[in-house]
Amino acid sequence: MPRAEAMDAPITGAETGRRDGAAMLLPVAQVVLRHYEREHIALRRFLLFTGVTDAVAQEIVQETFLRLHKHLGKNPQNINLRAWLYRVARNLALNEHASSRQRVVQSIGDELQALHQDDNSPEAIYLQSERQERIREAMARLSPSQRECLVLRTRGMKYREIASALQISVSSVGENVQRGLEKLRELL
Amino acid sequence: MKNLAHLTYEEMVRLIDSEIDTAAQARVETHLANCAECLKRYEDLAEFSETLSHAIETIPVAVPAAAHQRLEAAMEQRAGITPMRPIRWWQWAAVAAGLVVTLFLLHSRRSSFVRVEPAAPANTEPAPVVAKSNPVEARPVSPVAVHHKPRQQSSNLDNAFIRLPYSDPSLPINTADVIRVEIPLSALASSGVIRTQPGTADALVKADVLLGLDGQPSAIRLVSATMITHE
Repeated sequence: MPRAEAMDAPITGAETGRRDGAAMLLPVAQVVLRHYEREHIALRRFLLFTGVTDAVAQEIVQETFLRLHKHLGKNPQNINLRAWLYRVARNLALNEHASSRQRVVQSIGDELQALHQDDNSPEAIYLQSERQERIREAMARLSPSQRECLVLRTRGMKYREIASALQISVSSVGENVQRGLEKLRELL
Repeated sequence: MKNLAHLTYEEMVRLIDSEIDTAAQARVETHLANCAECLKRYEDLAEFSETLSHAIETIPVAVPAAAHQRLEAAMEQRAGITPMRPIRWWQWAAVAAGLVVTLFLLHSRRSSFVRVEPAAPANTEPAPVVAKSNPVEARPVSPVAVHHKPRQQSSNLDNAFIRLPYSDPSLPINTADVIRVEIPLSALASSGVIRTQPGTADALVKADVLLGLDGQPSAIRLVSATMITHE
């Protein structure tokens, strides 16, 4: 696959795509793959905190990057790609999971539990520690916004970027982070 | 003495997240340097925040080995398929046909207000033209011949969708989803739709691609008989 090269090739729009059409893999696709490598696991984790099942999260991740591919083909410039990815993925998850908060909370616990059992890596075994479990349970008790803000904050995203991803104001992000952290400390 | 006021929770969180403005940061740091109590609170919170982040970032995520390839393949399938405009004329044609039927029926049953039900199916099942087209086996079409005789040849081609070899024949063809694309001849060649001649692989032709119910291309029909050459 002609993937290794041109990873940082600037995207110059659909024209580029058409010229290279014969090569099958467009520069846009390469850019998408680069972002995929960097973000897909974190995106999956984020989606789990929105309450979808892991199988659905996988599908949403795939769909999100396919949409990125399409999006970049049309508007190659000037978007905060990471915020865009989380925004699209989150909206897909919300569509998938238009249900009560209660169900979301349960689902998060179940899903993380299931993931946890599937995995025998040393990392997973480490996660069996009681503290880790309690953190997860506590996370499930936060409001969806608080949870989402805290998870994205973990990615080192700035409040402005988080705000863009979640389509809320920057000051709301600040409040959600503070309240979320405060509540977690009370619970733990 | 503003510096003496103990740090608020918000200030500590913002300092940890580097989301604090310069003036506030100066005050906070000065205070931390002078107040053991706040320093302890701050360090506790920073540690808690770190533990939380670590817990989230180490949630195991099982990535299927083929996930990357799957995305790549899905994108490749759309590569060379540069949508120009969605073709909806069958839908319009179907609506128009439906209207004609409706008007005809209204006309013939003018005596009373009749609910015209036969019109509805005509609307919802547009363009049987395509669905009924026999599943032609991948039929070699010489692009050179096409190139030389645009008119006559194309009228033949226009009505024939060629089933793509990888489509699932059991799936009904979804006639609503047709996209017009510019596709490199090499892509058609690799799908077994045509044979390319040396030097023509990079050329583009216009084609309508019929999407199956699974969203994958299930059949293709060449629209432009002439090849689009590179500028």
